[in-house]
Amino acid sequence: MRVGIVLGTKDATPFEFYVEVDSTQSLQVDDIIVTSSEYPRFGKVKFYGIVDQVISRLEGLETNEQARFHSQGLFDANLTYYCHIVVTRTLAEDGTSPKVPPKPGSEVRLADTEETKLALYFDKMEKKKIPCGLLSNNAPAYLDLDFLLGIKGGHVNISGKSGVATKTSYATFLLYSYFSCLKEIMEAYPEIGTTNTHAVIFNVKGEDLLFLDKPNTKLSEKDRKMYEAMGLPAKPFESVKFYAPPRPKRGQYEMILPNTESRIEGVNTFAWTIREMVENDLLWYLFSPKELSDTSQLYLAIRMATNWLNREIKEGLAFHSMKSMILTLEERINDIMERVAIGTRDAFMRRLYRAEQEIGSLIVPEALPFEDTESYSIDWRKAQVNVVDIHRLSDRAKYFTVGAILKSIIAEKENTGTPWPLVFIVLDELNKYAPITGDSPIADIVLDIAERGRSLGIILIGAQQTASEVTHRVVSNASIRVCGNMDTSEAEHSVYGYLGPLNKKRVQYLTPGQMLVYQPDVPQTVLIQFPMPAWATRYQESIETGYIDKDFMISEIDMIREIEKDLGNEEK
Amino acid sequence: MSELLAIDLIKNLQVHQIWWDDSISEPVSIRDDAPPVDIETDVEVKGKWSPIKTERVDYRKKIVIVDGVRRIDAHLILGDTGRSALLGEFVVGVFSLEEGKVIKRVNECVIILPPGIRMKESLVIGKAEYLPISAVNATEEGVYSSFIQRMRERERELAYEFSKEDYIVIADGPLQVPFSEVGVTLGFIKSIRRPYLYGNYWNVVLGLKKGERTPIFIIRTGEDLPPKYSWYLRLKEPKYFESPLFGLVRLEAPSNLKIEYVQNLAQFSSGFLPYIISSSTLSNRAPENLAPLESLERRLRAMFHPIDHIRATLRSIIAQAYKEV
Repeated sequence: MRVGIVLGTKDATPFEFYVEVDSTQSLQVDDIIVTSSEYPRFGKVKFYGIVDQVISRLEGLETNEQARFHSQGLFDANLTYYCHIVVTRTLAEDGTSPKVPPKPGSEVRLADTEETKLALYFDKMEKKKIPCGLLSNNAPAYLDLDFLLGIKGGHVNISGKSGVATKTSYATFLLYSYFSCLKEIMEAYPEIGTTNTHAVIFNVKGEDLLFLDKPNTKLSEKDRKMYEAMGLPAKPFESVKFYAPPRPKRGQYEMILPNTESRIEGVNTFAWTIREMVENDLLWYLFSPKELSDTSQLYLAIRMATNWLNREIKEGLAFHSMKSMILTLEERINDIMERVAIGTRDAFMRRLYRAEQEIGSLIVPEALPFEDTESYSIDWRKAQVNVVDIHRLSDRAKYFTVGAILKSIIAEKENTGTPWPLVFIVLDELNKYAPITGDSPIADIVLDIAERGRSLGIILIGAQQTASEVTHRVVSNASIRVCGNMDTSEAEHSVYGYLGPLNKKRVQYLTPGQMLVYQPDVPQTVLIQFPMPAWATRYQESIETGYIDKDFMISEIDMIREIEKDLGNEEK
Repeated sequence: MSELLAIDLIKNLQVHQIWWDDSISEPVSIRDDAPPVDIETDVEVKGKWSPIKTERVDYRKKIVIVDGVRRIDAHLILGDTGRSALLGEFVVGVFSLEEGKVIKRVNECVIILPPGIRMKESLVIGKAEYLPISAVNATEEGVYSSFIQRMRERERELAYEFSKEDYIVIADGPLQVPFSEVGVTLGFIKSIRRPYLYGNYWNVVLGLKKGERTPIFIIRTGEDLPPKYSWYLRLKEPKYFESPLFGLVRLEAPSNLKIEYVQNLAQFSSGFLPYIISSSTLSNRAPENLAPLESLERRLRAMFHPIDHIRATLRSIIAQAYKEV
């Protein structure tokens, strides 16, 4: 469909030009257009581009007064409506890409679905792509898997304010798109072999992700159509395991239950024994980054305590709780830390006590007569998607959990020596784990994944409200960058350079479900719209399925609360 | 091809000299407002005059403004006789107050030749095609006057084209003779160069306040010319340092209209025109130049052929013509 002509009063170059829109037509930002011009050496050259700015003004007027007269019908002026086009691709008939400008006056058309694919290089991705949303013309947009899976690049970084259908929703949508296309992906990448792909999602807000395996009964027809347009089924995730921390303030021989409210069925508890903590060298993560940076000698104290505990545990010492470990350490501190200054020893113990208050509940006794300790560790190979709910934990407990899990994944991958099966890590609040300033064990591990993860087969889908507060090495290692609604002042930071000047101004106008997506082989950041989750994000969204009996749920929760109350009374 | 022809034409004209300066002042004798023979003051009001105040109206349906702009591209001095010719271009157009825009523009390039010199074909310079026209006399004034007359004729034709379609046409300048017999054309005279009234009548004119007009009077300019209705109108009041003629315009209407109808036109003019005046930032002839008139003139000027190109081409043609002599 013709929409206008290449404007002749402004420079047309191989990289950008302007289009004057016909008076009976309209163009909006994000529209994809195509035009062509004949050139002696190259024949017919097609130019594909995206509208990134639309401008309307009264031409031939010099003053505001004249414009006012115009509005009163007393002054004639030419109302002009033109658009700035960023050229994404030039294509000659022989497939080359000559860098010549479109000729002024050339007819400009809206791109159809096939031309859209050419404009955004989706044709070059062949089968190595997954849908990542819908473009403004409702054609699907794709992500180049070469840049997701670590072949040419890896990792995704998502920035934007919190809210409905934002960062985590988009990360889960990308995972959903990936797992829905897994069969085709395995065909396109023979090196994957028969291995599955896995994902570990850290759930940091609410219990939205506890229903990934339940269909969203409230999904609108419009959203269903969006899935359809992308060639994706509108279904919940098929293979999901949920993990939640144990309920705190439990008695020593009490049942260990996951600390979740809206769902208990099918939720596993994750926890560590002191033996696991010591053997996997996790003592570091008991300390917050600030504590570690405040006392430089603390590193030495932690190392010595770990060494001592390792020795003792090997010789048969067992701890039932963190408290018992701390008491033992305190008793023997003079022997263990001979070379450490007294002040540092005190600092170490003080901080251990504080850590115990927040992390103590994540530690379970080593051997219970009726429980198998194995069941409290997270085995990400058992399901495609593993949701680890950490939203109820304190910051220190979050550092510990995230650090311990990531460390074990890296260790496991290092041992196998192959990147396959791939594992995606979805981690929000990167600014907490890898802040721009300061150094900590948790930041080290996130950095390690960002820098070495590609070769280990660990792909980080990281998210944060403000990328300017995340260490640049984590963000710059992400090949695919995504940006949702945010303040324009935040978008001014250089880390958002990929947005370009005009997109930086419009980030604050993005609505839920809209994302600006940048990937290396497409020269322009594109706006996409992704649908509401096809899986439930709340208990209410899943109930029409009859899968969870509402009464049962409530009665079970009530029962547990009753038990807790009784136990509390007994303690008094 | 056209260039060879142009060289030939220029050669035949024996162009002796060219003036590029187009700032030549208008010769007094060709001013439009011919001296009156007789004035009738008791057409609308018998006896003593006083200003007539009108309420503001905003009526724009089927109202158009017709105006023209002109440019002298070159003065040519021909042979040794001092006879002159003129190359000029004018554009006439129509602004519709109903639509708020210029709805028609026509341009014409002419070469005004002194009597006795003929050109069989148009002189083509670049994209401009200069139509040969004979002047009333061989003097510079005569040539210039013929140029103006040509533009006025075109304006009148345009006014007629619209007035016969039941438009009310406001034409810039005095009414052109002969007036159109069909429809209504109002003459809008911005420059008050000659008082048509004297004594107490003129005092009424000078004392007009914004939106006030004088009673209608009749002007007769000659035995063989039809009389015209006329009235003065104040568009804007002068400040203490400005001339009492500031913001004063005169309107004319054809005498074949009924006086009652002319009265309506006068009421309309004083209720509407003072509210569509231009400001000093918009026009250097503010406030008398109405805003749409200024707009129209700007749009018309944009239609002129590029002067630099025309002069360069003409210079080259003349150079070649000399070479061949």
